Amino acid sequence: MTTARHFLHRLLQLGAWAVLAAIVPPSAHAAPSLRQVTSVLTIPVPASAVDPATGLATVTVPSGIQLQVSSTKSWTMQVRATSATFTYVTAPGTGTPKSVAELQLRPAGGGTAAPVSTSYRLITSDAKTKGWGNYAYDVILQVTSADAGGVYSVTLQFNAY
Amino acid sequence: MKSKNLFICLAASALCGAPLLPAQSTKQITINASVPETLSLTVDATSVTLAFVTADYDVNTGLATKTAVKATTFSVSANRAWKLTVQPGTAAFTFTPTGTSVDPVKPVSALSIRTGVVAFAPFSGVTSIPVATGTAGGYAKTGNVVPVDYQMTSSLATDPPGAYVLTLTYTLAAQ
Repeated sequence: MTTARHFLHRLLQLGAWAVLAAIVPPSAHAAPSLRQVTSVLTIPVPASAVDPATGLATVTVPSGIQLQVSSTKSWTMQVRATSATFTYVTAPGTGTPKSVAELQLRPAGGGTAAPVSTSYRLITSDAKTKGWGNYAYDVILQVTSADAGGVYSVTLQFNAY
Repeated sequence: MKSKNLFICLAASALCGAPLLPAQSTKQITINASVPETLSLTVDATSVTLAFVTADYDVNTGLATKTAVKATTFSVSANRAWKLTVQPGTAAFTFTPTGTSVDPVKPVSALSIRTGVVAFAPFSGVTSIPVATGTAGGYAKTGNVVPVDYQMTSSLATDPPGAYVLTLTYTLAAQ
């Protein structure tokens, strides 16, 4: 009887360990919290922005994307596109696919702009925050004459860790 | 007993400790880009003059032909395939006589145009005729600059002295 009780006791202990291991991931308390101020950004490209010689247009939206981060430790944010090309919303499946590489991001007010791809790219690293910290990014869109008139859409994924 | 204390300690940590945050936080943002339909046409000159002089006329036939090479050059910028056409505003030239001559109602078929080295194409009434076609690109792209030659015929027998004027309208459209 004592042996059986002892066995049951050990079994409960192991069960508890298993539950704890499942619900408390390593370094859980170091994870930053991320919330979005911007959920949709619309970039109108005016006809006047198009260089008639090259057919190119570059439109910059200062602080077009705004996020907030709260972290008790230093943290890093990365960004990627969920697809390699924009979706041509106007007439899906038609036109020349527009590469997401024609979209660039940079920290607002400076920094190096880099094209977006489907692979994560580091965009910000910072120390722990005091409450929610604001982080803004300039969005730079390039349009070429291969881009038929219409609306193009792409989803960006930001990941803070 | 030691194990029991550890168990209680861990359970308390899990239930009463810091919130159970994920190891990373992810958000998605949608970017919508609105691209304009671009069909831009520019021209370097809006007036072409073909000045006939007496020496231009064949003394036997009384006919003369005058050509203005690359008299107008059109530049196209478009983000889709395009076509350029031209249409006379009227079926005949407007006539302003030198002196008191009567308007001969000179037909527009006396005027022809061409691009490149192809044969001249005469106008016919107010019907538009194709000038050029091209693909998407700025005017730095080969084929998006279109020089136009003009050729006009005159006859001593039918064309009294004066000024003959015709307005042409060039239209750029998507194919």
